[in-house]
Amino acid sequence: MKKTKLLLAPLLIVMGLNAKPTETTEVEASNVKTGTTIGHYQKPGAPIDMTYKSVTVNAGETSDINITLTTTVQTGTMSVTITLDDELNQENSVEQNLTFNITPEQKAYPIDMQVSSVKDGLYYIRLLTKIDKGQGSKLRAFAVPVYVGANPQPKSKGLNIMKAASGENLSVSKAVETIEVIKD
Amino acid sequence: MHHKLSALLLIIASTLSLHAVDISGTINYERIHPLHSGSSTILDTNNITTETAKQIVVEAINSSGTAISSTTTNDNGQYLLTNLPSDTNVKIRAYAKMLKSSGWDVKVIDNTNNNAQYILEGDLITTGSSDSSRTLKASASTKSSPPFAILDSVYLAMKKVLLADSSVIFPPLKMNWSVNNIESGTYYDGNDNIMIQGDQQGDSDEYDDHIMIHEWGHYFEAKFSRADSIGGSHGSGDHLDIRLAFGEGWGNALSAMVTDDPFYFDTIGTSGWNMNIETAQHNTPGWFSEASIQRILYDLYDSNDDGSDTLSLGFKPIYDLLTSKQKKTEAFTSLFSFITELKNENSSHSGQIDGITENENIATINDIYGSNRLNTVNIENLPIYSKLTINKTLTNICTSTTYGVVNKLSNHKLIRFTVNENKSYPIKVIQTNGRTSDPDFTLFQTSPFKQIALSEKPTLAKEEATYTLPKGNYLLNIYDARDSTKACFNISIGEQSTIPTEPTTSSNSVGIELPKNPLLTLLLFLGISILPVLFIRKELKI
Repeated sequence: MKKTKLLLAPLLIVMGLNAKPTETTEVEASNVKTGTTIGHYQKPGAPIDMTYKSVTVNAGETSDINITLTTTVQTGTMSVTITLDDELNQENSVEQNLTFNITPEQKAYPIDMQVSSVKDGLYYIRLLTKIDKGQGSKLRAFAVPVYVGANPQPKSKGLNIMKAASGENLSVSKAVETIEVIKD
Repeated sequence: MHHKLSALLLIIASTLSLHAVDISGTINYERIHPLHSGSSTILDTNNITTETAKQIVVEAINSSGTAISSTTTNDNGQYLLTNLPSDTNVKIRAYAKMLKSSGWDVKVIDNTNNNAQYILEGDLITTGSSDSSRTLKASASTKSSPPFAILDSVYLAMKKVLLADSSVIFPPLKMNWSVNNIESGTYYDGNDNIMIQGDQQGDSDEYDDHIMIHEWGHYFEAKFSRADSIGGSHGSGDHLDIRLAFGEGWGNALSAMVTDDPFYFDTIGTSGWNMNIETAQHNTPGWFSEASIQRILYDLYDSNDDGSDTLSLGFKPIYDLLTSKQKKTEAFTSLFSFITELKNENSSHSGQIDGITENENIATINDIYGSNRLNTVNIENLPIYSKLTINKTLTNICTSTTYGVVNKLSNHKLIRFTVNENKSYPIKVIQTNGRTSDPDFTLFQTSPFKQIALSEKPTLAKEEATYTLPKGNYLLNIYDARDSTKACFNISIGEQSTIPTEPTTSSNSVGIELPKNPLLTLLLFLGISILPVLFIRKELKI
């Protein structure tokens, strides 16, 4: 017992010293996908960034999609038009046309959606955002992925893929071809 | 004998030439043009033209899939493949790739599908016994034209540069496009890739030539000039970090210079927007505004003298400056470094250059550090570069989020200093108005210009590190990782400081810091408390 107590104290000390400092970080479940545009190089447009969390679900289940818009603008109006892929059903009552009054105090503008689909696949919620500062407006488009099923595939498979004789991957399109024999 | 051999060889050659044919033709693609309505722009599917695919690789492929002949199209999209075997099945394959030895190497790939190279193919048909023409067209409706539209925009930009400098060799560049690039955005990655949004139900950029050229402008800056931009989201009315403002203004201006069309647009599904780079309303003009910088650069270039713009330099002086003085400037790349050297290189036009910048509410620029700025709405903005003396403390350097976070004016504070002795220097950044910030910094040598250190400890209110620095000029870039509303710092480099001495820690020492988690702090306390108690009990045999 004494040996146990003697060992316990150093153990507590070592545990305390080796503890990770800083803010607690949540370990995200593997079925939660996240993304952000913050910090990325972007083409010109409305000065808006988007961050999202998208929970992967099975067909028929409801997925929670948490979207946060941030802007460096201090005043004005931010409007958001939301469209869903045809295969998605909206399960909560978020308006498809939203308007936010931008203030210096409010750092983030959340949009929480719930969607479902009866069919496996990779679908998208699209947001078209606009900042109006009373002196003209700019747009920026975002898309949030919704994963339904174990191995969701995008709707569009793209073009036909084949290998060249050299081994290079090729994405093949058929041409509209016009052929003419050149007579001597 | 000799005559018989010659005759035999002549017969053989004649026989062979009778079995060789040529295939020529044109490679075309369909381009969807924009429809502008006020401030809105969309793709007009009723306005589709057939354009030529220039400088692209074309091959004749036999039935085994092997290329038996290769060439490139000319500037009219025409190609010629010669000496193909007659009466042999071949198909013509056009690659979405421009390739010229000691020239360029640009290709469009599907980054969502194993980086597959986009190609356009005709049918496998016999070459016959006569020369023939096979013209291929990539259709917009089948989504086969976007790769060629993208290349056409890039070629236009390369030609502009080649007109200024015919000896340029462009480093390899990959344009990554796919209909499944739905959330990728369109951007240059800082290396050898441009990502291109291809969402056919939302935002796709393949036909937005100004956007293609804007992003190519970032590639050009990175490969031929120097870009110190810190990136991030931005808009034309923002008060931006000076490095970002110049980089984005340059991209916008280049798109107008290359196309000789100042009407920039971005089609987004059934919406979209546009701006006239030259005539747009002057929202918050200044040296921090990408809109001001794009107007300045375009006015320097264009032949349209309007208002305060009485100068038409053309592209070459701008190109020459970007690839020489701007590339080597000892300040961060900004409007100040650019205009200062432009005036030095074109001294007879100094007055006219000043007139253009003054029209953007920018006081005369006389040095690369933007000294003597007159106009500001916020005291924290100035000076743009603070000058620090070794072994003396620079006080009251404040970051702020007045204009936003990450990459806006006053999120970063720029310090310049000179080292006259090669030795070890501690750098200390200490907050003086509380403990709200997490200051970090990057350190740059200026000749040659490069980042030599990054210090990002998660420590509240201070950042310290020690570096051995040879003689020379340096820049220190300080920022607050916690985006405090306003954080003010004392900064010192060297031994002496007027601030209270902090407990000494070397740059590589770990020290002992209490964990910030209260439970773990309690465990540590218990551990420290129990040990002496156990010892005393043992010794006293309690």
